[in-house]
Amino acid sequence: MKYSCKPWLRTSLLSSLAFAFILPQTSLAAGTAAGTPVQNQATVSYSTGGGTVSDVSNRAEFVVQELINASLVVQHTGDVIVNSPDPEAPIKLVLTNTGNGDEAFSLTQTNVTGSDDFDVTIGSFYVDDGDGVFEPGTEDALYAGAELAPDASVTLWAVSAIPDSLADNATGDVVIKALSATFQTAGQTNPQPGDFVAGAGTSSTNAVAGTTGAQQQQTVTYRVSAIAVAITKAVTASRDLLGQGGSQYVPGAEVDYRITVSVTGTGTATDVSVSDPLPDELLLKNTTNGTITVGGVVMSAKAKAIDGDDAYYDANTNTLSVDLGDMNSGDSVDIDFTTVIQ
Amino acid sequence: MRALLCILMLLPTLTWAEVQLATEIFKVVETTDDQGKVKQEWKKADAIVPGDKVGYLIRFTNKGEQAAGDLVLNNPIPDNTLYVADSARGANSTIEFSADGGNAFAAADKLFIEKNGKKVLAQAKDYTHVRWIIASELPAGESGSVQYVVQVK
Repeated sequence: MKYSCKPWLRTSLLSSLAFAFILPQTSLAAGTAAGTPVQNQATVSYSTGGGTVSDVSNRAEFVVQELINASLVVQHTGDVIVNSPDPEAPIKLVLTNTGNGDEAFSLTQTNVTGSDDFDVTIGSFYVDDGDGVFEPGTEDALYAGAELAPDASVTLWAVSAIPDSLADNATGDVVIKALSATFQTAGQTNPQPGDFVAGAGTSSTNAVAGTTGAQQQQTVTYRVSAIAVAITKAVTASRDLLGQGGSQYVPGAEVDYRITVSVTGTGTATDVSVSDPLPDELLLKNTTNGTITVGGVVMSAKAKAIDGDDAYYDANTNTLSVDLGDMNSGDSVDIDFTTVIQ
Repeated sequence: MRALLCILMLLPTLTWAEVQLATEIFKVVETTDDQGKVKQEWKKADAIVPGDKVGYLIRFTNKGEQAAGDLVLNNPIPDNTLYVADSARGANSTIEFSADGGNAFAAADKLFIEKNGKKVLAQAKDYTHVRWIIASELPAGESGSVQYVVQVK
């Protein structure tokens, strides 16, 4: 009686055991966690003169070792467009621990010599604070090589300075490399798949270089872009509306304007937006009920919040605005509108 | 009562058959020779990492004085591993699998599971157990072995 469980306790023990069996196993892309023991025990049953007997084998066990793998992905399609000079040209990267144990990675940048036009001045690595915007020193702290859990990623900025006076389209290549801190500490700076550091892994397992050789590197090209956005404005016509088809600039006369925005150089000018504060002597014809023609498309001058189009007029500031979005080199857009002399 | 228990415990060692099992672990390494032929080698099991193949060799020996009949070896597929299709071997035996924790066993081409309300053939990754039904008696002093391969998740 002394050793028997109370019925309620027995039930709760049983149910907690059952629960333990249906708990989903931690499943990582990186595989079974380093240090996990894998046990195997066979059973045998057989008949003999005394009936059916069963027995078990030894419990054969191995411990899963730490596999060290990394992935380093450049977050740019094509070249990284920069100015000349550019004191802080960032390259966005995502570093992922694709191994099965906690691991830190050491990062380096080096210039590629010979195949490109210029060398950069190698700068630091920063850790993005989560907004994907490069804010060195303020929001984005210097990369300190913190340990990453299996499957964990970190978004990084590799920064370099681009020299002055480079020609348009000049290129500079850099190699960005992530190396397992475990291998680096062990003095193995170029580990190959299958190389290992005995006892240096999680839970004192061996740290084994995986298919990536515990290192990853990417070559990134900086390309100088002398991109320029030019804007011109001209009167294209005027009408005095005095009945003789005249074009005198008199109060009440209509004056047509054309703004031309064109992009030259290399690459893409992002989020181009044009703003034209009209002088007090002019108002947009029909003000917010008027129209603005962008690249031949007639758009309402109503506020963006009302009609959603990219051309709008603010009657309070007497300012006309057009959002042109991204423009590639060679693009040119005409903005036409009519004003009335007050 | 206690006396009876002791006699029962002693019985197998005294007479008849006594089959002992020993499980060994190997690292299964695939190498490609000059002719491009893939060869499997069972090596010492060191530095096993996710993705590696692990071979289990289960030796059975009859240490008793009489033959053992109806020999059945049963082995759960270890946690964190998946059975590698067509890897189970065993001379003079019928190999069966279970996909429900060892309740029902059937040959690989006759083992079905329910998936989304449909009855489908169980895949190697679904297996929870493998067992070998040895066709003949194991005479006293004789031994044999069976084997299979898993892949570490």
